[in-house]
Amino acid sequence: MPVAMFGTWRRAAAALALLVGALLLGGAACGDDGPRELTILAHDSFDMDAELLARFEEEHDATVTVLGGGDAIEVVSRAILNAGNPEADLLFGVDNLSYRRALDAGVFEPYRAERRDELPAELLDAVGGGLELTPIDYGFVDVNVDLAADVGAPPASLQELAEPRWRGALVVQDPATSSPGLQFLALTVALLGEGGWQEFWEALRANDVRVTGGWSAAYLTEFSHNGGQRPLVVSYTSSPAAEVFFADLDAPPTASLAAWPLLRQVEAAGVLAGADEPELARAFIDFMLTDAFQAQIPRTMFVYPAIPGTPTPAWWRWAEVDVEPARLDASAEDIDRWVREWTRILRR
Amino acid sequence: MATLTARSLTRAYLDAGPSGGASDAGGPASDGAASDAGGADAGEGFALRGVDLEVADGRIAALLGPSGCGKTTLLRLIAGLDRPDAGDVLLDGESLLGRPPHRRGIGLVFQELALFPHLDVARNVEFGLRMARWPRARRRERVAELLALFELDGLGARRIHELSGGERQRVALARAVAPEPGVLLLDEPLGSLDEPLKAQLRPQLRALLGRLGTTALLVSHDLRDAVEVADDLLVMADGRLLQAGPLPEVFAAPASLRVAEMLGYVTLAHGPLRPGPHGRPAVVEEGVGALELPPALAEVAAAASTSAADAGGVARARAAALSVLAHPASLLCVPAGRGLGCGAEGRVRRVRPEGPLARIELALGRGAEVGPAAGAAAGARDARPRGVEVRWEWDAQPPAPGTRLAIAARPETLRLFGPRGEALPGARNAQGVAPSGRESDASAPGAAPSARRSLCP
Amino acid sequence: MSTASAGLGRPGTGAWRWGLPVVLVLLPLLAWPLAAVLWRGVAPDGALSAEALRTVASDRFYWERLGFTMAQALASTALALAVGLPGAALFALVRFPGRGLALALVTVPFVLPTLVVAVAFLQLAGPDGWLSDGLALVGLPRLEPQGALWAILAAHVFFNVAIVIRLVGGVWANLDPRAEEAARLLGAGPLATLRLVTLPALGPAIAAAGALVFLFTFTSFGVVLVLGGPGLDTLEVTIFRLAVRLVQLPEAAILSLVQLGATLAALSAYAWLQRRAAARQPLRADRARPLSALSWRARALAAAEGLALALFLGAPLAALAWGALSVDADGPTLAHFRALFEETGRISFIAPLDALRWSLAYAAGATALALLLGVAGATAVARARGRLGTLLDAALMLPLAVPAVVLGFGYLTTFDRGWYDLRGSPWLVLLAHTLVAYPFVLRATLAVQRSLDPRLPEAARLLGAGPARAWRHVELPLMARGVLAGAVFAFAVSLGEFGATSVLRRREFATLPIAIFDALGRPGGLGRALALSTILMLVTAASVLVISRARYREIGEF
Repeated sequence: MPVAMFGTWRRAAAALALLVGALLLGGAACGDDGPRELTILAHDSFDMDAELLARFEEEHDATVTVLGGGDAIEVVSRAILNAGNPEADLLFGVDNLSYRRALDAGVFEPYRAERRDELPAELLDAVGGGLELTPIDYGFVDVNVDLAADVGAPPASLQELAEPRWRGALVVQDPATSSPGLQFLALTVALLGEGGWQEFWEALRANDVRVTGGWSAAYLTEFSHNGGQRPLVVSYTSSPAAEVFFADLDAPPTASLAAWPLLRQVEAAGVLAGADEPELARAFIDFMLTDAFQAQIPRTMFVYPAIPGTPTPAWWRWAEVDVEPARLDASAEDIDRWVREWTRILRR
Repeated sequence: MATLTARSLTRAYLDAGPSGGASDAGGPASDGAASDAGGADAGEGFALRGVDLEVADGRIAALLGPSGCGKTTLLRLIAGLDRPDAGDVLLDGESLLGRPPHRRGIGLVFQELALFPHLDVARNVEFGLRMARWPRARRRERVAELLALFELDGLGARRIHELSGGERQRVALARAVAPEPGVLLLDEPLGSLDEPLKAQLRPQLRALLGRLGTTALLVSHDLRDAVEVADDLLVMADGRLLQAGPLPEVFAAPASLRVAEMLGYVTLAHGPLRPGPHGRPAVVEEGVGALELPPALAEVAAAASTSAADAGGVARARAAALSVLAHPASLLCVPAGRGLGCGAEGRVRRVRPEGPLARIELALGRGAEVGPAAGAAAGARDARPRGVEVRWEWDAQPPAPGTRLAIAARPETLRLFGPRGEALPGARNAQGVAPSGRESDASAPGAAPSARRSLCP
Repeated sequence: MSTASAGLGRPGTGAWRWGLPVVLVLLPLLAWPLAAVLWRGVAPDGALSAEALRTVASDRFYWERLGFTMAQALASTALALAVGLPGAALFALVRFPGRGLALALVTVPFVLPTLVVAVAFLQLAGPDGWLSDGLALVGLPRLEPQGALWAILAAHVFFNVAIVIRLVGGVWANLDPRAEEAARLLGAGPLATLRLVTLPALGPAIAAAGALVFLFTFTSFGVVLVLGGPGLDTLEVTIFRLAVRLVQLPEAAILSLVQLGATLAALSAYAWLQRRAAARQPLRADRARPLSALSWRARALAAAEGLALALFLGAPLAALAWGALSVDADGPTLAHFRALFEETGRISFIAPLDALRWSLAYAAGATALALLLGVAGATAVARARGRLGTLLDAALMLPLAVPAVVLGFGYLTTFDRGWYDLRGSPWLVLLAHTLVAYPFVLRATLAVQRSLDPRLPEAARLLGAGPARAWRHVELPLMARGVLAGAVFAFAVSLGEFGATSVLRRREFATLPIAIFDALGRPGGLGRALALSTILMLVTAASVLVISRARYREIGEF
């Protein structure tokens, strides 16, 4: 029992001083001993095979530490906060909507990955096309429908979601707090244009759209497939495949609509300027583009590998949908403005 | 065993007050500023104003004073719980000021006892021994001895809240004396108890302290505590020590009007010196009469009156009122108008039967003549009559309220005080011989035992 | 006389001896990171700039956030008091079987991670929850707590009712019953007695509890983030968005200052009220009476209140546990728990036992440090006088008022160089936990310390104990109850801490709340999240029980 520590105040003070000292020294010592240490600042969805990582560590005589930092936007914020004196060596998770602010803040140093030439141009362009960022994977945010809900013909266009037929049917995420929420907002901007997207959201609001703080609240509680009351939810085109994978099914119980052009969410990695281990960071980027790493991406992160032709597991075919990519060119300021306007529209 | 000495102890009130330096400073009032104020005759806002006292080795001293006069502050300064702004505390001639309370070898029984609620009786008593790092066996022995001495045997395992008031009292005492302090301080040790219990505990306390032989300083506002427990008496008021000495001496010769009043003396007459009905100098007060002074007092009274007149002229002389006091225990009521009394008369306000006889509350002073209601209507404060409680032994039929009675007093028991409340030297002389005077009753003028009249000159 | 209360324990003496080390510890751990972030905000280019201030002041959006934050905090406080006061009466006045256990369980919601509570609420009151099922049965529409104000308020009450019960109940239990008895004898009925005698006597305690609930709900983050919707953002959430998502540090800094100002005002009011509430009263024996000594009406009332409280506090937790157990309609299974232990072969795998171990390690370390800081801080506050004491009190409670994200960012930007580069270090998490935990130790300790008779340590001094031994042998044992209660809170708060940990997290050192959050964010993770939440709930309840049962060697009933 800690109470026993109180011999005298002086002793307690000494103990406290010692502890604080030990903390500081310990913290400092942490960084110095043993093999080289690669620190990765990654968004929360980052995952990979542990065995594969162990192989990387062995090859490079390094230990890899992953710092969780929230979603794409939040990791970028953290990188900007510590620009020039980064807490990590590598940033993974920057996406098509968050990369501009990071580039503006100059948090990356350029690196040409070994397999960069194999990456499709549209992936490179989605994150600015510069050497600072290397696309690793991508996905599409789309409306998913619960096939068991028996809703008849799914909506064929974005605008249809605002029609009375779909009243109270849709769950979306708050773009101010959620990555897919922001992607979906950006998609409405891309498809409907300035003025049009605001009207659309006004109509959605009138049509009793439900807004949750994050993907999990929307998908795991409000979506009728998971016990909620709403048959339409904003999620990913790969979500039906994930359902198959987790429940070990023959066919997905949900479907991605893919009824209109979708925005490609590209996730990229970059070496942080001022990193302690830039060498290792570069090695890791190349490692992320190896066949072995690319092949396990669908299974660990449920997104599409960036290198074309990467072999994928059988159940992943449920994620293969024909998508017409939407185009969007937005500055960081544009995105801020959308979010603010969106919040004003949806605020009660 | 040790002698406790305090030298010109001065201390500001702890709570803000006019000298408020202490309220914001980090610690006890900084020495410099406060001792300045203390040195230059501390005015308002001082709890103690230069107190000197000494309790000799093995003596039990009682410090008597009204609530708020600085008694507790004095104890706390001696114990080291507060720091004096000026002055010193010495034990056997050695200053204690530099020593923290736990190294002073002083025990204190708090007014509220401050027994440790989380420890049982035995561990409360043992506490000081543990702090002094006595070996366990000796500790146990000593605790057993003390529990027996304080008649607490068998209560060792009790919790404090399971004890009666008297038992708590004894535990507190046992705890304080356990580590054998050189000096024991007791702050109103009987204060929280009811009167019958107090009456029962006083002799016990006296006996215990006597048996321990510890130098002890007891603080009380109750005269009876002092009388029954102490050897020496210290009288305090307004942060000053008014008088100190062996109990009988202080009792016999109060140094001032104030002390006399605190010891229970009452004012028989208060007024200027005039020739009395028998031609002798008398203290004359309207509504009381003329109290003729015995020869020994008459002389000093005349001298005091004259010197006051010399100093301040006619107006002063008129104001130079003298006071004659006596202890009620030495007074009797007698029927008025028969010349039996000492010259002071009053009106019966209340009668309290006391066995076959009675105790009479007499109203003395101007207001008494016109009755209380009229006195109040008159508005002047001086007009209000003062009450004096006197025995009635004349006959078994006590007088009715409103009756006028005279007061009879032996001349040796009268005490005379000057215009500024100082005891007049003659009066002191008269009292100084009081103990022996009892045998020399016959030397008093007109010593016929039957003539009550002779009680007054 | 008045001087009797002065002396060794006199306010003022030793305040700095105790306060200075605490301040010296808090300067680098709290003041420096906070100042660094705020300075970066208000002076983005190294010089003070009023631009952000103008932006914020001229934007109606921010004013509305402030208004909403204030309004929901006031409403939550009123509701928590309304629900908590009868509960406080129950615990203070009635001795029923399992009272200690019940009191420990009542504390559990307060220390559960907001994340878990939000999930539990959705499990219970969500569109598919038991409540909705019940409503649907009688033909009423299903509940939609997502983005509804009532859900936020309900969650706030669920969280904070323990504060009211413990704070007010504690004072109530020690209230001298004679005043009430006198009132009854003077002809006051039970209700009049309650209104005219009991409630006024409890006034300061109620106000203090209210101030604390206001503080917690004013700075509410997790609940609002999960349950809230557009337009239902508190200042804290707005600050989080500005800082973390929009990297608008200047605006975030201005809003942080606004929040700090408002919370400091609440804290000062609380500190002042506490000072008044602690008019020294002797520690009295428990006044609770056994059930059998109550009238039938009182018994029925107590039973009804107990049941209502159990339902309100228990139902969401039961729903959570049920969700963790039931996989499908086949009935309860342990599949979700088993899933926790299945090696996935991925780096995202967090072994539940490892997470539990880290949680317990952080909690133990943070509790130890919090005890040092909290007890020293409480002693300093108790001995400081007047306004200084109130100020010190409020300042030491600051960690409760600082937006977690601001503190987290502060840590990331100040402990970032050379030997004090602690980013990614578990020590930083420990320090953050200590910071959020010690105010609870301070509060609990201060409460008993203020009721301590100052003559007791003085008596010890005169019996030969030096200041340290007097403290060790007399003050500490007498404070032990409060210190223990504080330790319970500190331990549990650290167990459930999420905000700061999430900013400073690192996978190898993941705690249970982090594991829960992680599971929630992954496809197919809800079951695991529920299972983990259940484990965390049980561990929290068990720790609360164990610690509150521990008896200090020298302490007994009095």
